[in-house]
Amino acid sequence: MVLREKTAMTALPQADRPYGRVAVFVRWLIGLALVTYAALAVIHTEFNPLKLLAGAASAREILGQIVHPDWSILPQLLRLMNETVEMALIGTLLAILISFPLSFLAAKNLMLGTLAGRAVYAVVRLVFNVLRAFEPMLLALLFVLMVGIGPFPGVLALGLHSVGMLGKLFSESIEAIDPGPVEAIQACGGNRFQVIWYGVLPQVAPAFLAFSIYRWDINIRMSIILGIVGAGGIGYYLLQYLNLVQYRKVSTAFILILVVVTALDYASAWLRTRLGQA
Amino acid sequence: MVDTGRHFPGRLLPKPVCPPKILGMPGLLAVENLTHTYPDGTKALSGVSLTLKPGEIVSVIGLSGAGKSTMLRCINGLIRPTSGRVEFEGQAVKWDTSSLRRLRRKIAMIFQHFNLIGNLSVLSNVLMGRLGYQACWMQALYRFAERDRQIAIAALDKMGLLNEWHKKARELSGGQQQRVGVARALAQEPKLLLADEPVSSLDPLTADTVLGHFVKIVRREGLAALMNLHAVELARKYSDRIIGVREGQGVWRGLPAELTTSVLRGIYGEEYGA
Repeated sequence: MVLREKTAMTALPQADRPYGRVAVFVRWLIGLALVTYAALAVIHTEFNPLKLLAGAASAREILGQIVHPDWSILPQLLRLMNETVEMALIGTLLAILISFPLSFLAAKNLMLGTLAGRAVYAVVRLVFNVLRAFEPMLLALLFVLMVGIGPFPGVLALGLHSVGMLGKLFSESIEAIDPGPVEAIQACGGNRFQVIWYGVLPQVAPAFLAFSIYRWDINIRMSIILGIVGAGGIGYYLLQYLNLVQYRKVSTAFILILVVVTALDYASAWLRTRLGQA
Repeated sequence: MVDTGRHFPGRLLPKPVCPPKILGMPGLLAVENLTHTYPDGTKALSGVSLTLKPGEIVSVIGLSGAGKSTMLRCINGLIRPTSGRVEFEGQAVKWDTSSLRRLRRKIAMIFQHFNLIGNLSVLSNVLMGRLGYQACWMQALYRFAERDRQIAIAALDKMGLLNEWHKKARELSGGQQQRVGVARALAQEPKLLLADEPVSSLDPLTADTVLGHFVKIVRREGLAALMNLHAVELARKYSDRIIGVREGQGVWRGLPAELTTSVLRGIYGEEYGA
């Protein structure tokens, strides 16, 4: 009873609601539209859990083979897995080589001083955006047509896409530096090159290294997929085994991919933590 | 008669009708009628003048935003003044890149937030003071001539940091970091040191120690120093002359002993000490 005492209550002051009723109505309308769209999407995507149950019967046969991996092809798969990792490595190195110098040209804090700088900044940013927009899969299809089946088109596809990704990440970490040391290098009489090399680079080096390792990590996973369109590595053979219904070989490949990717994932995470850039 | 603006305590300088005749006088640094307006229209400086003789230590006091930092940065060209003249060793400062680079070799700067590169070793940070002299072909390799290394090591020794040379700069305490900042400035072998709030981010005790150490070395080497200081007591204790800045103008010049409460009210506003 005491709690209900009216004198102890403080009334909230009236808040300003310029579009009060209209805003509430519009919000309801948007909510309703979203729910309707989701309902339509369920129908269009033929979402049906019952089908999954029906498919379980055929899955039993596949499962029966999958639990008995064919270890005889392991040496061959190891060689292919190594090719996949190497593809990712060369693709990433190619991307680092190109995006490292470009990223300085795409950093706002270094480039927006002059009109010419603004123009270069805009162009390099655009290049990064375009390269990112092309999925490695599409690029790989294109390069397979250009240079033929094998790991080389995969390297080119990974490299080009990674230039866009790394360039963006590199230039954003340049933009996030502490401007203090830059000012200090200028005040010491450093020229433009020295300002970047001694004032900016030491600040961003750990982040650059961490991003590069992370990119290699991603590229390993991507290069497995690239094999499916004929761009070398273990993915190409995985597709073959699937087409030939050789599920015991598929199983071996899956296990190997799982082990290698997980191990490299942990290694990359550990390295990045060591660099203080988790 | 170098500073025409020596006034008795408590009397504020009137706005100069014509700039004081200070250029061409024997001295290390002459700043005349310096103004600076930022692109957003903020008027940071509206006609500051001052001179500095070799071996002189002068403090600049005033509220935050009075234009002290901007003034210091106009002297070594980190900020280009809107109008006015800066003369160093009898030569008018030119604003092209190579002249500025040569000027900055002789004018070192110490910063409020030290502006060290935390990832690099203490010695590397001090070596940055030699960048203005570094040979072209060594620039990309993080290599310095043996002579430059010796100068940097001597500067570290002067600041009592020899044992710390291999540590990363960010691992040091605030007081130690600022001593690295001073060592970097000394490694430039400058004629003039500009110190922008050098001890404002340190605790009062460390501030006094670091500034005392700094002043002792400046005196011993016969250098000149122009320092922006927040703490009036430190300005009083360590400078030969004091300049009060308010709203982008020099409003008072005098000796430390002349800095009375009424003068401080003229510089900081009537609320001072109230």
